[in-house]
Amino acid sequence: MNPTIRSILTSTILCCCAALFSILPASALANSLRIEVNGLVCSFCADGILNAFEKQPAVEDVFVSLKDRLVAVQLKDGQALSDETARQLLIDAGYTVVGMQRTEATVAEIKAELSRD
Amino acid sequence: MTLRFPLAALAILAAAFATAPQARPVSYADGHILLIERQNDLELWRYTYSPSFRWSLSAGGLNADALGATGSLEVDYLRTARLLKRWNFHAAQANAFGWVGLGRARTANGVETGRHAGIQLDYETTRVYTSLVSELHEGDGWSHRFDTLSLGWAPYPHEVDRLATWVVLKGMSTSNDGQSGLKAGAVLRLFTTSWWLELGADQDGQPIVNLMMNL
Repeated sequence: MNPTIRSILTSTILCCCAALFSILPASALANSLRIEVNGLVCSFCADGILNAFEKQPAVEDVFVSLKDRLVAVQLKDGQALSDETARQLLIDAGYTVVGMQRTEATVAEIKAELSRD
Repeated sequence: MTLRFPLAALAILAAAFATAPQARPVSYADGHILLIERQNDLELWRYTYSPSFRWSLSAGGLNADALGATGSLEVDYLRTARLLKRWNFHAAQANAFGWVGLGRARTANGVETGRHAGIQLDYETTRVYTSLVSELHEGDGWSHRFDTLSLGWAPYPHEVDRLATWVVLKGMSTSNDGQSGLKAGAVLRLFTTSWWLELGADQDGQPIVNLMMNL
């Protein structure tokens, strides 16, 4: 292939990739959920949350913080868990969801962040 | 049983209401809980399965000393419990539970069908715990009621990945055959996500042991 044409093609592909990357919603890249929950006061009872999420095939790791009233869920690469499913799992465990965010942080990173606060 | 302990004041508060176990009668969807409790005048066990956080099915048994003529009470039962109302606050939770059950009861009158019903009201944060439990067992010509008020305090906020430590004061009332008795106790409660242990003593120095496990 002509070097000039190859250069143009390469530049075009890179530009297309960059454009695609920039228009993807943040949630498509985020592979964890930070869920704010009301009623989180008992670690014995919070076992229901851990069990419910750990049974989900898409879930890599789950973490519950009573102090921060937070449930963090990390998904496996390429796997998805809808907001509605996550919300329903918490409702079925007996809690009230008051907020949910998608994030790129892993559960380990969220733990580290919370321990610094 | 006589009042001769400062904590008996708690028992007086409890006199209006309910039983020994502080375990929630309903846990969470697909939750299995085994409870074993031993006090001087009461032994009980209960296995509970909760298909949802709203209701549960239990099989259990209890053996309680009686104050009156019916002698000791032994009951093997099946029960269903329901979460009547839950309040999930920002940093607290409150619950109202109710339950009914049927079983085989053995008293001095012999063996017959026994029925029972109970309520539990509780309020909890990561530092404070209160509950009021009332349970009435009855059959033809006899009844046996247990009431317990618990007040708990945690020296540090408990967290999921750490051992939780609580000091819990209990006021316990028992009524049957027209007689009633009050006593008080104090226990150290330790728990994690999978087990729960209470160790303590009542006002007479008799041990209180309560073990609960998430299966």
